[in-house]
Amino acid sequence: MTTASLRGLDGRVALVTGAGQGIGAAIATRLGEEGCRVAVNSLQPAKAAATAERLRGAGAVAHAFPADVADASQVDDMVSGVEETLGPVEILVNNAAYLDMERMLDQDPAIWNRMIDVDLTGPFLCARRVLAGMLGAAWGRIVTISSIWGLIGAKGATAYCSAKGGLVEMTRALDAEVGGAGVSASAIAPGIIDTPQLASDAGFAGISVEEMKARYATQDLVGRIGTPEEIAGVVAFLASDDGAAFRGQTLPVTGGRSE
Amino acid sequence: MLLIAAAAVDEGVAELARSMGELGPTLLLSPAGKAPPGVDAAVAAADLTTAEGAARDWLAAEHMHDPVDVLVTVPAPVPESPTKVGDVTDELWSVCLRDNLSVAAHAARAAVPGMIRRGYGRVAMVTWRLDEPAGYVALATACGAVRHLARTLASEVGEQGVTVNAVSVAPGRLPDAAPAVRLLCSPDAGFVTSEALVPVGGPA
Repeated sequence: MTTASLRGLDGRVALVTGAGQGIGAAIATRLGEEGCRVAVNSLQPAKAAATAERLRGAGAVAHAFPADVADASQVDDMVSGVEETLGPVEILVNNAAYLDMERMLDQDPAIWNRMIDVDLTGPFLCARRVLAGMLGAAWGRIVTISSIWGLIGAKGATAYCSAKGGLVEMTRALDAEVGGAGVSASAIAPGIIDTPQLASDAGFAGISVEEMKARYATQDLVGRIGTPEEIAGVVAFLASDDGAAFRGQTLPVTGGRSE
Repeated sequence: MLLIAAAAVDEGVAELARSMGELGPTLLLSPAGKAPPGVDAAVAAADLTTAEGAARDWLAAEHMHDPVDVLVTVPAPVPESPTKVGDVTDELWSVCLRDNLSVAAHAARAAVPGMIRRGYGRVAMVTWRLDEPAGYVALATACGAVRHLARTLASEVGEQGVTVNAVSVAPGRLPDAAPAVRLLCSPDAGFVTSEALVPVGGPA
């Protein structure tokens, strides 16, 4: 069974935050394959440049826009740069996130604050900055990457879970506020995905990354962890015309482990 | 190939079948045994309302066509008028369960073993989402049961490469399910299983 082409993506300007690696890089790649003109954000300039270079090598239009999404002035500058280089942002994928596994009782408030700033306030800052353009054009998609841990919680990740749970409600409220007339907000709650983040999880659990993957694989219904590409495909769907019916919702992509 | 299993084929099923057609060859199982106008699908006459009929007709259909790697079950049409719960007859209750829950279960029991053998399959069970279920208690019950059938079946077949999900749409708006079903039936949705999607243009 082939993948049907997704409608409404070709030629759109898409900004993907946290696209230097993992899920974000896969999303940028997929949107590039769908014909989007991709703005690649990462906190680390070298990683943003590498992803953009790789997309261009595959024939996509892509540029790097390094910035810290937790900093309003950097977000403003980043989006201005995208507007000047590629045009107004039509698709925003709020993917950038930071997770440092640690017991809450041991956690320095500064670390807590940083996770909330990046994981929850970052998507707000980015959405706020691009929404005026979307509303003016009467077309826009904001797809936010929440997490299964925002639905069910996880030990060692209280700040991250708080932020990701907040994104579920932010998406619902945001769509209620600005959705309709071509603009919508939706979200995805990925399950355990094969990304560099697993090294942190393994460190917290005191086991190897391979052991961590094997342990996680027993916790869903498909007997394996997911791939970044499996998240990217659903992001592309939600950003396309085909995904318009999921306004305000968070789709779990978890291998069957959403509750 | 893609199999659509229906207790009855109306214009909604026909439109869904047309929309699914772009994914590949389609086989429509229905009691009437003929394709609705404008639907480019093979059709096999099948009585999915009984386990015996489903098994018998499935064997015949499978013999004639390519292996099925996608199964889409659709709900029976919404009754034209509501019935208060006290007036629901035994027959109305059992017909509603039969044409929604039993049809989905029989089709899945027929199609899923082959998917497991081949290590790949997609099942999407479409149901109605009743925002105002008063007068439709039998239908709401049957649709809820189909959703849980999907979620539970997913837990039994997930490790064999088969995903099972439900899609709920507003009563009578079956074609609204098409984009979500296309997603679920594509390789993109390999990590989506045991979910109940609600493509209704707003919060679930």
